Amino acid sequence: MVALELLLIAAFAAALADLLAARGYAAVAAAVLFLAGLLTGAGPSTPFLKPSQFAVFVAGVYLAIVVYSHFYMKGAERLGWFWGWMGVFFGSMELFLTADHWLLLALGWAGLDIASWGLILTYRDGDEMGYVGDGARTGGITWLWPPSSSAFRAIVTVEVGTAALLIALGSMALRYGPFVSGWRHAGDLVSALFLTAAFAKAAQLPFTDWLMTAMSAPTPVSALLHSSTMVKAGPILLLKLGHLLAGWAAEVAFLVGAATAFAAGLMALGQREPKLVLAASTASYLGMITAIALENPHEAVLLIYAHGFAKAALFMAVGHAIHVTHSRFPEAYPLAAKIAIALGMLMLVGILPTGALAKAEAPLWTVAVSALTVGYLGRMLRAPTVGDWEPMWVPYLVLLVVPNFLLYAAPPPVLFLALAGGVLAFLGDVEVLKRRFYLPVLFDMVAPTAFNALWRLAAVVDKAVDRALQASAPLWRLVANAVTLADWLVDAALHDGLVALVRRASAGVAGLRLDYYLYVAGLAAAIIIAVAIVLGVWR
Amino acid sequence: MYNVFLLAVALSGVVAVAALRLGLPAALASMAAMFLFLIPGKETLGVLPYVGEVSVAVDYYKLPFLAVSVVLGLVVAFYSPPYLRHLGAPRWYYGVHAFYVLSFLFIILFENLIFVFLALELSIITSFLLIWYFGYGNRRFVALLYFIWAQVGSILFLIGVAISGTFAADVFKATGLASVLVLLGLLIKMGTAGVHFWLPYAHAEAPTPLSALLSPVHVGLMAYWIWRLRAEAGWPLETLFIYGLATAVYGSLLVFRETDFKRALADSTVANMGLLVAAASIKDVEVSYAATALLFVGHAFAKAALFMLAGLYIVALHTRAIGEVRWDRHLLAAGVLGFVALAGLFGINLVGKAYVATGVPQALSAAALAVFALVSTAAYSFYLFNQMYRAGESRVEYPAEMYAAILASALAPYVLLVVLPLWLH
Repeated sequence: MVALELLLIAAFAAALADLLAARGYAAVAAAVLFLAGLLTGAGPSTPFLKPSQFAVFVAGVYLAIVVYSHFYMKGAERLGWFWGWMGVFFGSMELFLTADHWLLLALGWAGLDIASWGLILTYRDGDEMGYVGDGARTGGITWLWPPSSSAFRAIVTVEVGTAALLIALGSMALRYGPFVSGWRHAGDLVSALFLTAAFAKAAQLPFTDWLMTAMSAPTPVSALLHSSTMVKAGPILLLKLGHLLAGWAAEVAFLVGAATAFAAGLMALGQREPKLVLAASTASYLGMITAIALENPHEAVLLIYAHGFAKAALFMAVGHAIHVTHSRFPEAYPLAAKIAIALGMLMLVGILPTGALAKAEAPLWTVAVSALTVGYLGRMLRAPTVGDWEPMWVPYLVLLVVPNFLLYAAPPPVLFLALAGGVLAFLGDVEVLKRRFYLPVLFDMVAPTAFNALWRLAAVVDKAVDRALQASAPLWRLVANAVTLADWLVDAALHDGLVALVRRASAGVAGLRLDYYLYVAGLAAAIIIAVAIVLGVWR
Repeated sequence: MYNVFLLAVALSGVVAVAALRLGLPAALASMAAMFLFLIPGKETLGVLPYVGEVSVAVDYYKLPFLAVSVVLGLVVAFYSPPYLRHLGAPRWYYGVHAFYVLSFLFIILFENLIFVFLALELSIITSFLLIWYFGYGNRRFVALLYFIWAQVGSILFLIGVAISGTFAADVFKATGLASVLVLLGLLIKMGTAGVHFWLPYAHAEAPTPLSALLSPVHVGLMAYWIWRLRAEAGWPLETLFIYGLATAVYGSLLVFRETDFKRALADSTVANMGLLVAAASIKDVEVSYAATALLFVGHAFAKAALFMLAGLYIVALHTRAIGEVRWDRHLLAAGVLGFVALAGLFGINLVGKAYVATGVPQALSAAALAVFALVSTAAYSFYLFNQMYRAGESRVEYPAEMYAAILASALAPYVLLVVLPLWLH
């Protein structure tokens, strides 16, 4: 049996090897090794790690995606960069899942941030495939984001969550010790910080838009980021720590999650870039999972699986179309991709066996979210079909088919109601949905304007004080001059004035004769005697 | 220890004097001899009237500060020749550089605070000379500005120590004015918000190899003394922690005003000194030490790498504007490693930030400030990286030894993360 620690080291070593060799073979090897290790019972050999039920799932999805990437990224530039960060992404997610020590948890969590940032930068800024948006100028912003803008938006937004998580973890570690499994009740503030961390990572309102522009990354990255890593870390954090959080946390998670589920589902209906449709769909499903993660963890776990398989496959299918048509707005889809989109849709709404199992205990309102899903995915199914049978379809169809033999249930009839959402596939352009309720304006205009005002204020204040300090230099000169003047006056008084006075007195005294002294001395003696006599008579 | 200390002083000192004539090889030899200072132990060198016992000590707590000083001193010296050729600097530069590095060791090694003051003076004089002769722009003005602020800082520290009447670090105890003066002196030397006005000038206009020591090492060493003296210094630690976070926010905001690579890095040092002050003020003394040491070491390597990168651009492209640089994949790698570590998003810097997070008081306003501080320190790093990244990719010719030094320094925070379990136990 291999130790889990060794598997993690191998995952990061593979990332380094792939960075240097730029081939991606180490990624495949790492995924196979990890999967084989876990399936043969690899476990932690130190107290720093704990087994995670998601570890196999993540390794399996990662394996499918790296195999797919070998087709998708053929001929692409910056392959070392791409494969290196993919490896870090995988290793970080596994570290986050299995960590029981708070610092390892933080490292895994931050590793996800940094890897997603790096992967968003894979395409060069001038490369059309790296852009997100249609270039329209509305709401005061330009709806076109190159990879460098997307990466910056992503890292700054998720860093809010990471900062909150560090403070929450640090506070708990200080109180209960370094091992998460030994922690007990979290206070209100710490609970709020944990929730903030989960919301930012899982792209919940209002942090949704970084996930949309993260579509600047190549499609395999999106497949990985949306299905089993990064955003999933949000609800998985809630599952890990849910039992510690304050009682009100479940209600807040429900409100934010449910709001995001509907809002992002509607946004997905308005998007015309298929990757953006799927991105909004991810936020929507993450909302659903977040909403129930604290109330029904078992259900949330199953939803994480089903959504992970479906979304990874959907991204790979859409990527297949992008790969074939060389366009971010593919006008036609390969047949295999369409089959996958149909199967993915059925898995998401709960009609395929794995989806049915996931939705078995789901609350009724999720059927409405499913109806939106049928609407936005149905639109893709309406597009024309092209013939392309490059074997990149194998991994994504495997992901949609195989899980149904492992996790299954019969679909409750009510779920079929979601298919009525198919009519939404015929909905025309709705500007407010297309513009994602103008949420990007918050991130591209309101927040930057406020922040710019803040730093400009700091700069102005700083410069003013700096100038005042430098302007005080003449004051120092004035003080120095005053001291010089005073010094000269004292100097003159002591060395010229006094000396001259003494010299003059001395010269005057020296010029007098002896009889004059005797006369003065006699006079003085007479006065003293007279005074003594007067005083004696008086008594 | 006594013999080792004297041997180390004699060797490194004499060879540093020789370096004034012989240049780089002698300076490297002098700094190599400084590794002798890292041998643990404690020894009394003598007892002086009024000043009392003068001793030196090396322990687990001091080692990271000492080791980083020597290693970065060597790395930067190795980096310097192409830069100094570009500046037209004579050989004696290296001798002064070696003495400057020696002063770092003395600042940490001495247990007698009067002697710590003397070490501070040595560091000020050596760095002042290098700015005065080899700085940029209005270098004499900047050198004087730096000299006066640094003197004010170290003299306030000295007066505070003198008033306290306790000169040995182990028994240091201060109240009232002494307590305030010692802290104020150290904060001025660190350049925290309100007493930072000298720092952007000095660190940006110094010759870049000096900037790569001033900003990463020199100012950060004061954090050790804040941590060391805090037990009986009578400082309000929670207020100091909040002040540190506020400095981190303020320094981060200042970065956004800059277009000059070196000035941006200098402003970023103000932010990082804020984090270090917060780290040194965490209530739990061991956690506080871990935070201080990790942030100091991580910041030192990342900041030195980035200053050296800025210097490489000065030599290779004759520009200091971050928006005008160019990069090939090697320079991009160095930039990514340096900026990610500086952001505290990975490497030991992340662990340091995590430890700082443990000290956040349980109040909503404090937590909000802490989130803002942690986010803003990360945001400016990525903002600067974006400036560099958008400037564009192209072929750049640069000396290999400069790049080797940058890469070694930029990799250090990540390599140290791997060996962290061996370090912190």
